[in-house]
Amino acid sequence: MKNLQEQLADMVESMPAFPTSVKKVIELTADINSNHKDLVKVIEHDPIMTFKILKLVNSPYFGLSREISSINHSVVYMGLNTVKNLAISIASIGMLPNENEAGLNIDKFLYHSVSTAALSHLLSKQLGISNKENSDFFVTGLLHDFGKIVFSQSLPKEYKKALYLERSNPNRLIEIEKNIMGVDHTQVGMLLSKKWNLSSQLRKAIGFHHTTKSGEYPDNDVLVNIIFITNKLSKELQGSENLKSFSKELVSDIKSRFGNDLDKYIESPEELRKEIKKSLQFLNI
Amino acid sequence: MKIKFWGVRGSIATPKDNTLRYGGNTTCIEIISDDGKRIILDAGTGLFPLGQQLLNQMPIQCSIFLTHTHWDHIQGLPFFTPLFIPNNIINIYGSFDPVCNKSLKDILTQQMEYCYFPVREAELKATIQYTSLPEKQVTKLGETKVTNILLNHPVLNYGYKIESGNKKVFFTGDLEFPYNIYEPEDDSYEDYNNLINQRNEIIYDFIRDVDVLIADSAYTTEEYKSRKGWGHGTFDTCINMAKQANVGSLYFTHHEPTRSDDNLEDIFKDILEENKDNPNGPNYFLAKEGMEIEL
Ligand SMILES: [Zn+2]
Ligand SMILES: [Zn+2]
Repeated sequence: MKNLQEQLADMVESMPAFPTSVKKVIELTADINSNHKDLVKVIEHDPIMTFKILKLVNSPYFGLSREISSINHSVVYMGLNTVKNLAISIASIGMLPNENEAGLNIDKFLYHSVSTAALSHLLSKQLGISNKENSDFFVTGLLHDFGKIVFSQSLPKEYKKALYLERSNPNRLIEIEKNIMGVDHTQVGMLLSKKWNLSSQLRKAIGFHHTTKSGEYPDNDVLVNIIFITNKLSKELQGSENLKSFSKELVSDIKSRFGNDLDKYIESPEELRKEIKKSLQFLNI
Repeated sequence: MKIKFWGVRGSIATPKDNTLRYGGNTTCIEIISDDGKRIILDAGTGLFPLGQQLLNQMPIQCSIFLTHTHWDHIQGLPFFTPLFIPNNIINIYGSFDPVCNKSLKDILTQQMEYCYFPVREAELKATIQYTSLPEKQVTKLGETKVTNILLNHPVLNYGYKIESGNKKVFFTGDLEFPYNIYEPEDDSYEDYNNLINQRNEIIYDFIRDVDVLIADSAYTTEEYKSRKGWGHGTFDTCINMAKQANVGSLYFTHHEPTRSDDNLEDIFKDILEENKDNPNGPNYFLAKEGMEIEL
């Protein structure tokens, strides 16, 4: 296990970011007068850039009294120019190839990550979570599937097999991953966020985003519940362009985790779709 | 504790007739602690005359703390003669580079590469030790304590607090207080403001009650408007910091390179005038090359 953690961690160091954000970082940073908040936005919508920056700012090198879990906070802490140059140096590694050996479609992956982030942010506001914490929900949504991209980059042959098997066994990816690689993508996400001192809430939410059996996950943790739900919501929304209602199973999950608090959104997928569009617009995908 | 300014100019050395009174060398401050430890804050061009003066005390032992590695804070280092003399012990402290992942030693060694300097780092004869400091690290030098805190600048910049006897000194290095990158109508505006305030409180707490605060006041508030993001403070941000942290005396430094002595004194006169009704407030001084403070 230890070995795998180290191996995957090394992999992340040299992992390039997503093509859209790499292009945008290069474009924005070529102009000294470009808008800083645009650059922050690009980083905020790229799971790899986000992960790498959070990993640095939370490293023991900085004397933080508590974890930093948003890019805005990282900028206030390390300074705009340092974050900007980090983004440039990540961009200079190259771009994730759209067709990777493992066959994980990275456009779809990014779409799913960003929409899960946007929905998590929206729902956290609906639940009355403070402004201060809303960004944690966004970041966790963005990073919840990080383990998948790590698998596809570090164990492409194995992961290709897993993704192939998933096609004939939908909803059983976790099991398949465990069979083939010994760990699943939630465990890898948790492992790496632990190694790099990301917040324990984020770690938990990543780790339990596929756990359904009561008693096996902390059922009173809002972030855990939100990510579990938004992961499913964004999948159903991504699955069909004009979805009119969510599956019975998902509706009952929402009810059992949140009572009637999110009814407003269960009834109209349209509102959620709008929120996703707003976020994706920014990435042109 | 004794403090001596060897360089108070910001950005670039200014050997001109109209900067003679306050001095043209870039940042370098020497501190001798109560137990006789020699601490040097930053290695701007002011480090050269300091090194010359130390030549009659060889061998020496000293600790150089670099706030950051912009040119004006390291340019004196290759010209610090004690580095070339055996039996001197020189410890250099500073930040690492998180962007290229370089240690302090890598950064400073590069400064002495073939294209930039004729002598390689490896040829220096003194015993030199480099320490890349994590933030909020306490470095103990005998009875003296040096603690660093990260401050906003376009590169990682440490402010250093030096405690000796019952006295405390804090030097900011280069510091621009962070500003909001969002517009009031943006979603993130308020959140960002809170993060800034939180961060500033941590800094004020760190500096609280120091006897002497030496701070980057490169610009006037008016000048700052067109120099936002350049990484420097103003007279007013320094005064605010000094008041918030209840410091004893504030020394303005990192004088803007085009600032004449007369201009500097005019600005200072206005500051004293504006702040004269605050008997419990800090005392204000313009840092001047050669100036000594005894605490
Ligand atoms: Zn400077
Ligand atoms: Zn500087």
